[in-house]
Amino acid sequence: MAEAAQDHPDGLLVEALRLLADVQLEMEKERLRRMSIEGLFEEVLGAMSDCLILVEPRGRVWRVNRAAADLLRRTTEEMVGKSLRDVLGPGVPASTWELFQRDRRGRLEAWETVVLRADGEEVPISLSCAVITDPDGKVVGGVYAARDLSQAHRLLHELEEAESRWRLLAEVGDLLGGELDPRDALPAVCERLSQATGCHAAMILVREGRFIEDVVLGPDLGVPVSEPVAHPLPAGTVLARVIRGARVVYAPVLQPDFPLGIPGWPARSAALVPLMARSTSLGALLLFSEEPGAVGDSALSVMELVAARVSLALANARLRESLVELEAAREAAQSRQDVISGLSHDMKTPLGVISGLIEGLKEDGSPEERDRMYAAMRRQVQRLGSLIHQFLDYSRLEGGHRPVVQLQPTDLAELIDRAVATWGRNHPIDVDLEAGLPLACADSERLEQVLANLLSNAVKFSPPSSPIAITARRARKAIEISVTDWGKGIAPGDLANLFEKFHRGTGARGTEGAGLGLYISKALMEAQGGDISVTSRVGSGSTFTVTVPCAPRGGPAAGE
Amino acid sequence: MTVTILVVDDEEDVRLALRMMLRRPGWAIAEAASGEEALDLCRRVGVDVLILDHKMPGLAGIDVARILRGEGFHRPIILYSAYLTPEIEATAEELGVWAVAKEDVEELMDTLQDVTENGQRKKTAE
Repeated sequence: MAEAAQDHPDGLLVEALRLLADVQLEMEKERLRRMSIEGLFEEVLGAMSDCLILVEPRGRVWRVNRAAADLLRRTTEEMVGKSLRDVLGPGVPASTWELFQRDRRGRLEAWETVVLRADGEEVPISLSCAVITDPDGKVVGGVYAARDLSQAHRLLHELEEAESRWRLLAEVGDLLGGELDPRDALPAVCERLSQATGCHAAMILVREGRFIEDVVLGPDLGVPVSEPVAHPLPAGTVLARVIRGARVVYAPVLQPDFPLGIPGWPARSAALVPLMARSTSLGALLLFSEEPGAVGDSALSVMELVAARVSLALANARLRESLVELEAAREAAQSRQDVISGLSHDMKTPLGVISGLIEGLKEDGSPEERDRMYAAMRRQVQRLGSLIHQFLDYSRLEGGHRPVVQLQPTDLAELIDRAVATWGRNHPIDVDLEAGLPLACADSERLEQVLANLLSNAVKFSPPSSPIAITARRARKAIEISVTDWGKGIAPGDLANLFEKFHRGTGARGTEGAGLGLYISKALMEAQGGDISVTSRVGSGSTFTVTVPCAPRGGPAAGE
Repeated sequence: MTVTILVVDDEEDVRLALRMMLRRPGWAIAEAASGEEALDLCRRVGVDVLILDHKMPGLAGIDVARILRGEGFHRPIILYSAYLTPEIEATAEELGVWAVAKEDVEELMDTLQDVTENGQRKKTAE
């Protein structure tokens, strides 16, 4: 350096400045050397944002920084000289000394605990501790560092709450979606909500916004004292206000005998949330408890979410129902259209025959020919009449009315003869009536209508000139009339709904008829206190049996 | 020259009505109660005009017409049915068959008049 100074004219100045800087550095070092160890400590401690508490080997608090004083809401003076447990509360080890003894290597111990603040509040903290030793290994003290965990705990709690809500909602969604009708899942939803909140959960469902349709309870509630179903909502109650006004009512603390709306459930804390489909009230979700204050804010927000989910499911179910109703109405209208069109087609043949015969009667003909034509006309007029009857019966049944019958003692032999003469042409008909058959209690016109239907079916579904048998026999207090054919028979799949409206068997293609005959026959037999049934085998034929009650003995006999 | 008209219907009263109605000099009426019977008669006996019911047990009228046309039967066929649908009428048209609704006796008579007097001028199978 001296060489450099001699080489350059400015070298001396530079050297002088360096010397000055060195002197300043030495002076600063000296100043720091002169500062007390304690002063240095205070400065470092005060600058730390973590709470620091220094303890003496005996476990008494020696120094405390500002952050610690802030956390514990105590002054430094209040803490210095106290035992650590007095300062931090029962959450720290009783003897810090023990801790020091356990670990002399100065390693950090850390744990979470709760400290009691001067204002009585408990604060969760993380606490770490290091032992301070001198170069000889002698323990000279310890340092505790604490960090306030309340913010982190709050976040964690919120996270857990959000997660459990999400899980609850997912479960409620599964429950509602798991049933064909979401209403079947509501008791389970109440149970789940009750488990999640520790309160009783119930739902009231209403029709037309005011009539109680259903009361759904969790298993903890059992049956309400009075059965309110189908009653109007109790006026002047909170329940009525919630459902009609579509308002949430939240009353964490209730007076005893508060008019909640459902008798038999004592509630000292309650929340009621409406169930809505668009602007229509579907009912309300109730959460309540016998304990005042039990229904808390978080329970309210959970139930609002559940109510929204339940409302959605109920609204969807209603929509599905109305679509099904609409479809059924459309089908019924189509069916009626089909019946009218079918009957009007069926009327064409007799009309054509009658017109043809009228033309035929204009020509000359033998008396025998004219007799045959008149007989054919009578049959076709009867056939038209029967079609019109069918249509009237059908309209009456569609309107929800039973056919009107006039029951009288009726001679079945006569009635069967008439039916055979009109409907059983072309086929050999074997009539076998049990001897001494009693009079039946029947409407002779209606019973003949049924037999005519069975006979014309037998003719329609069996090959030309294949035989048909009619038998009548007594069976206890009734008479059974059977019509048997040896035609193609009825497929097993068609048997079950043979007597239903518009049923046309798979074998009925290529034949006329609107599919009303057996449907009307069944209604006619039931109106007469009788019945109709069938047995059949494909390929071997069918037997239809009608049952009519016997006329009471001693009553006026028919024809007298 | 006698025109033989074959009436095919499973209902006896329909056949009776047609038989009585069609009593005209020069017309001879034959009857069949089923489609099968009609086919048999057409194949064996000379039939000039066919009046065919559609809905019958066994072969339906339109099927009888189809079979006959397939066998080269080119005489007039009248499908006389209470159950005419647009589909059946379209098939009838294709086969060169007149379709007449069953209650319409006048239409049947007019059609018959037409086909017996004018032959197959209105509709032919070819």
